Amino acid sequence: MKARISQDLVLGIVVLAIGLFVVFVWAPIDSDTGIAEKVRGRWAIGDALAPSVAGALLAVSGAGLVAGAWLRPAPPSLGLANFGFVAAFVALLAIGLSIMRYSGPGVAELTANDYRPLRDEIPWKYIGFVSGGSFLVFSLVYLVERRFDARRVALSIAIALILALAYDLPFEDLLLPPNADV
Amino acid sequence: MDVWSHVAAGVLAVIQGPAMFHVGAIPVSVTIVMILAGFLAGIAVGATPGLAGPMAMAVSLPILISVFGYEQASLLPVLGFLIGVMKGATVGGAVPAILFNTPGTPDALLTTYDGYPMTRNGQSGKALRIAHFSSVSGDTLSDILLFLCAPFLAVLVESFLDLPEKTALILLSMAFIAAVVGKSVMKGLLAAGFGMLVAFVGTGEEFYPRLSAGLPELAQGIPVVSAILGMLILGEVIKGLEDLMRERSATGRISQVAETGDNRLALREKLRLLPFIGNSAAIGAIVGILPGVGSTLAATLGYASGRRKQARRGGAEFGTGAPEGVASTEAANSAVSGANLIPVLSLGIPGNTAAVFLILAMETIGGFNPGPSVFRIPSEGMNEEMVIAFGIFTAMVIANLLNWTIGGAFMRWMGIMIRIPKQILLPSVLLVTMVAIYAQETSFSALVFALGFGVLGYFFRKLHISVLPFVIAFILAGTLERTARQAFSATGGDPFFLFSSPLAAILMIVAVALVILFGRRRMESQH
Amino acid sequence: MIKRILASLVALAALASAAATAQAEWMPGGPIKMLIGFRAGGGADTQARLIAEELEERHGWKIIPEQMTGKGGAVLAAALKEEPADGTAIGIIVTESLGYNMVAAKNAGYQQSDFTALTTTAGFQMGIVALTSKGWNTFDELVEAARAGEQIRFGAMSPKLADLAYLLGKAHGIEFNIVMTQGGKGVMDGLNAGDLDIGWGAGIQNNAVLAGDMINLASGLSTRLMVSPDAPTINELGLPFSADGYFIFVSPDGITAEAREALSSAIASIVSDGDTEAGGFIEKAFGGSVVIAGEELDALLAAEEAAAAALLEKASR
Repeated sequence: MKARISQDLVLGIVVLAIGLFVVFVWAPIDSDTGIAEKVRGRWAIGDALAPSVAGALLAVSGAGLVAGAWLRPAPPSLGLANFGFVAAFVALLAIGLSIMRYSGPGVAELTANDYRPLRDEIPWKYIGFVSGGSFLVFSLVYLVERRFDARRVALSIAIALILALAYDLPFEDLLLPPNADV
Repeated sequence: MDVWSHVAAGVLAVIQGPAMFHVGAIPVSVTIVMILAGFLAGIAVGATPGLAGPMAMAVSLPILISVFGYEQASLLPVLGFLIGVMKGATVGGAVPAILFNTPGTPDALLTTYDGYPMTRNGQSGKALRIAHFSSVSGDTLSDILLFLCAPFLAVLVESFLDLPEKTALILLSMAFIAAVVGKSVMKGLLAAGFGMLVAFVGTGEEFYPRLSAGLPELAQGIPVVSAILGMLILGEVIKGLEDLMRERSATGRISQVAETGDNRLALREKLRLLPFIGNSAAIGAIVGILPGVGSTLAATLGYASGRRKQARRGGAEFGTGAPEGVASTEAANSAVSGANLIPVLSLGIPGNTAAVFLILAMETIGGFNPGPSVFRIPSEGMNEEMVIAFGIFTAMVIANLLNWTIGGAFMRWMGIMIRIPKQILLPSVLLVTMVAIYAQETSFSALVFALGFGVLGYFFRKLHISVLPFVIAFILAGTLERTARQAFSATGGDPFFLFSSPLAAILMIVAVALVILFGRRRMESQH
Repeated sequence: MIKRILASLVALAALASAAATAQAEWMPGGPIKMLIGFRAGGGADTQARLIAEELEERHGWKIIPEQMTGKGGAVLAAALKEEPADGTAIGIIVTESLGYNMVAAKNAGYQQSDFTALTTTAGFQMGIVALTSKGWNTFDELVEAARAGEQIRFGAMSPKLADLAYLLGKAHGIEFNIVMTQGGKGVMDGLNAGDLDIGWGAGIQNNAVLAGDMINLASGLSTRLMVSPDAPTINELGLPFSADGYFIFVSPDGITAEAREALSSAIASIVSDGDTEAGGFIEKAFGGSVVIAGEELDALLAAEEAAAAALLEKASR
């Protein structure tokens, strides 16, 4: 009898693999001490123990899912369309975050300024957040509505601008992205 | 100094704390203002379809901390706001469920069963009043239980628990959460395992930041707010946007039914509801003490128990617009929140997402370590932590009083929140979340991490894996490892320290038994 | 040694206050990023934030404090190294971060020459603490109890202090169960909850000691403690090391002498002024400011590195 490949089976195998990878490869290689070490004349728990326990937990749950899925295959709740949507979302966020990060320094470059000393000056400190933020809001609204509406663009800019002012004006030490990174 | 002087100091810390402004000559303490602000914000958020209390707490916490700073004095205003949100959102959550049949949280689903039929019968005002009255009653009972139990339990815990037992207790609560929450035990363990693994990146005792693969971004550890806000908020935003995209073609407007007849709630009717409320509140409070079980189970149990009671009495059947149905559900889920703070204050173990943010606030600000030492009375002077604990209780009482007085009216007024289009609300929430994360972490990589966890949270939701075990395991993992290492060293390197004392052994056996028991029961119930 | 430091302190304090007025001409070319290597909300963090506020007030500089914790200051050091060396990036860590922690890490990714040390702000009142209710009045009584077979749990918040605890036990023929805790607060909580018997306190114990709830059994410093002058130093107890340590401001290496002088004297004059909020806090929390700067500080760091290597060598044997 050939069991149908169910979603939980795949999930279980992936999780089992991650768990085993953590226990046998990642934790031992990427930690300074093993499961237990002799330190100052005494045994002490090493840095690799805790991640190994987490990995073992993953492996056990993965194996359990595999067993469960084998016994009772369930209908899938995740399809190719979902991955497509997530990919679109991530792409939009990547673009939006890049605008947020680099538009301020970019404008500074074009006007022959250095952004770092200006990062706490109006209007410089808002350039990145407002441009990247309004792109994010508008592009996600567009993703859902699929129609270009100038009023939505205006609304997105307004939302980003209001947020920037609402956080920046009352709170002196609060930095808007990306002004702590430059 | 005795207990009562600590109680008095705690109450005064809230009422007489630093003044925000003066009404005439009377100073209004900043803590009280924050409780009120949080409470109103909580109702508004709860009443907004697609948002929930924990979301509002998550977004506001980093900002509150940036505003108030890290001094001990900022604990009460910050916690006051969060408590206000927690309580407000619990009441507010009933609004969209009753008016528009759109439950914002799983436990509000049961409120729709009788609340929405009442709206269609022209009784929306009455349904909202019943929801408010039951919710506040349940909440009050729960708070009283908290005040009585937390100090008592904390003292009890202190006298019995050494490092090995503490380790075992954390393991037990994590096992319990993984086993009880969600659809399958294995998926609960999976979520907990991921939560722990993520928490262990970049931490550890050695100078080399483990699991960091040599990347400086990982060497500092995964930012706490990135992981938690990513899983809880961004994951929900992604899923919400996707659902909206699907529904785009079929947007049927919800027809509104005008209120007809007498929508007030008479004292006689309140009295008639009281047995249902009392019953459900007791269920909710007991469920609330257990870490991780949360309000959904309480609402389910309360509703089921109320339905049996109603069947015996022969009133309107549940599901047809019975006031008792709304009362049973709302009293039960509201009674969880106060009781849920018992493990928080006495052990430092969060029981649900709301509690996670209270613990995070305490840990981030510092000056208050939830746990047994909170309720110790020093030989000389005051125990500052105990004063804060009673200050927290006072904040809860104030939030409760606000709820009794202005909560109902504000809640009915918040019915307008449904008008905000979700496709604009969700991207805005995303942007607010980004600012909140950046305000605390001040690093762009924290935003990238948050995005990653958002995607992970989305897949968790699509695969029916609960994110709560992830979040709680992530929060507790550091404490668990530290306590285990300490227990091992303190016992002189006894590898069986988890089983060497009877109490620790019992806790461990219960933990294992829970996982097996719930695992088997779930399997049977699926057949 | 300590006398020399004290003498130079006085000289420096005078110099600092004079310099603060004279140095007004140096201005940073933008906001100053102040990296803080301590958990938000603790005493060390509060100190740094108060200093930042006062610097803004006195000099009109814009200071943006930023938390960068982890690995005993190593995370901060590695990040600060990459910042521009023009006085717009500074960090506060402990001398241990550029001493023991740097030497002990197999691959720290930074060395002392990557930084310019600006000034220390305060020292630790490091003592070995126990609850008075334990009944030990002196370190010798503790040793006796341990020799009689009692298991002693010793809380330490850093590997260096754990090494010192281990060697101290060895010098007296006893073995402690050394328990690593999270920060000095972890030691205090452990003592209070009965999870620990003794532990290191870096000054956090002072109030409890003065109230009679806790006792300093020994001083970890090369001098005796201010609150417990009767407790012997670990030197006197036969250990050729000490846990002397300071909070220290550093900047990336390569800043101009002018900027170094301006920054260090600005900070020094604030912390040594008890009337400022920062100075008052330092007095309350760390028992007063300790300002070491310039060549004196460079020499101290070099000595710290050498001592760390010796301690590591001895503790691993």
